[in-house]
Amino acid sequence: MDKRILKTFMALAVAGVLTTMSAAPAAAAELVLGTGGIESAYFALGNKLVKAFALDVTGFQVNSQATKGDKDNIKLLGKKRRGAQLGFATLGAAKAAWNAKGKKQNRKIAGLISIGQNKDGKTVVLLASKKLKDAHAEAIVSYLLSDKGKKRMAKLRARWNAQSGAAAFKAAGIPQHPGAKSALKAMGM
Amino acid sequence: MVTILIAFRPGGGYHLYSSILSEFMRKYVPGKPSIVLQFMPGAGGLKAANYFAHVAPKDGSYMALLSQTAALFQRLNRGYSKVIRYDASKFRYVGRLVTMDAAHMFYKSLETRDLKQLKGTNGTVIACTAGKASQGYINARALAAASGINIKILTGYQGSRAQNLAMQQGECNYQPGAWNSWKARCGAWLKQGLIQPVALTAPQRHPDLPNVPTIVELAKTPEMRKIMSFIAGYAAVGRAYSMPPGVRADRLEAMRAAFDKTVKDPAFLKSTKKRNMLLDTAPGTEIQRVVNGIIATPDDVVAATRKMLGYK
Repeated sequence: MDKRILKTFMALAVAGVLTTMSAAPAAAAELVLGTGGIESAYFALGNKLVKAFALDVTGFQVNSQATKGDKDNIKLLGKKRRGAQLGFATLGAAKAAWNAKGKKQNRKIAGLISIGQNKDGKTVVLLASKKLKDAHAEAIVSYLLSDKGKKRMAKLRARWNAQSGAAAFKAAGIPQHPGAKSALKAMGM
Repeated sequence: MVTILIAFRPGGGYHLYSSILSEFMRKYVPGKPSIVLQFMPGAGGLKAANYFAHVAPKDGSYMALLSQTAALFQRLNRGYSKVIRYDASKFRYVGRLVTMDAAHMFYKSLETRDLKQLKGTNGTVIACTAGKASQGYINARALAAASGINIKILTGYQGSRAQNLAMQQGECNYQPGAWNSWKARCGAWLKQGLIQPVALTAPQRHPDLPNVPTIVELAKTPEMRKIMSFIAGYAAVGRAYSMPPGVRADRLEAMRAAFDKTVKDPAFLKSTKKRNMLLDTAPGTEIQRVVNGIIATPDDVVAATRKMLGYK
């Protein structure tokens, strides 16, 4: 068996065990994904992503939230209460928030993966709250970069080009979530 | 997959009730689909209601938990506002989990909390509310009109935390809010007598508070009783789930059946009890009747209500 496929399989298996374990005591954990305005491409993409998780991933549930766009998503990721754990943003907006001075600075975010480019050619990424559990981040990244995840998003006709994003996050100076890093490592990426 | 649209941010009562419902309801829905939540906060629930009426899929895969005041606000503003683009009577109601009776809480800093003794006083009772379109404001104006107390109403206090703090700091001594929330959040205050419910915005008395009159009972004239009944209607809508206008009848019936089975499921009841969640369930047909009643309120009652609320 190809080494890379084996690694991917193992990462998915580990993630599956971890998410099942984390969900064992009570109801499945719920995560909120900040998307975009109700007429935006990211609102529609978010709904497709939520559907993909609902169909293929067990152990936790991803819900979506309509927002005002990437700045709002980044803000929600930094909130202690009533915030979001996942969110779409352009890499530029994430970098700006990370490097901002004063109150606008937000270092409570972490990178997960890159998901493609928007119509303006800007790199769009999936971000997480720094507080997102490693097991959840690992399971999300493992699924989204797996053939199963990519095929599902293609079947849902999503404009979706999931990549590790490691180089993009590094160049922007934004740390990648430890769970994402371990998923990428397990997948040999 | 079934999506439940929620008109507010995650983390509150709307989220909690929907989360529990989605967990237990799926097994009763044909095909046992996953049920996910979609939060759409904005404009006090208006954004979600407009979306639900005009954009949400009508194939049976979409339900909503909208603001309990959606029907009241629609009727109050019909002909006065163009931003309300939904008709709550066209939504197809699946069922209600709990009523949202508002308890009018007087703080201990008031010399007396007897409505009769306070009648005719001017500015002794001070309410803190979010804004003129908020439920708190409407409730405070309603209590003032029904009880004959001239209540000073302050605005700009966003959320119950800010309002509770304002009461503790002496900025106000009265706050209307959902009885369920008071019980869940301020049980200790109630026990210690720091707050006392003096009236209820509800069509009838609450079993927890048999000695607390409703604003409908407090109203002295038939005209005022009509206004109070109109306002109190929203409490009976409560946390009610609906499907979009035009949804297929068989899909609606399937969801109603699933809802009715869920609220009788011992595991569901155990889970809600464990989380101190109150239930006062009602079938969708009953909520449909309540909402239709609110929307059918005669123009003269609506005009009198708007005047009482100080709306132009």
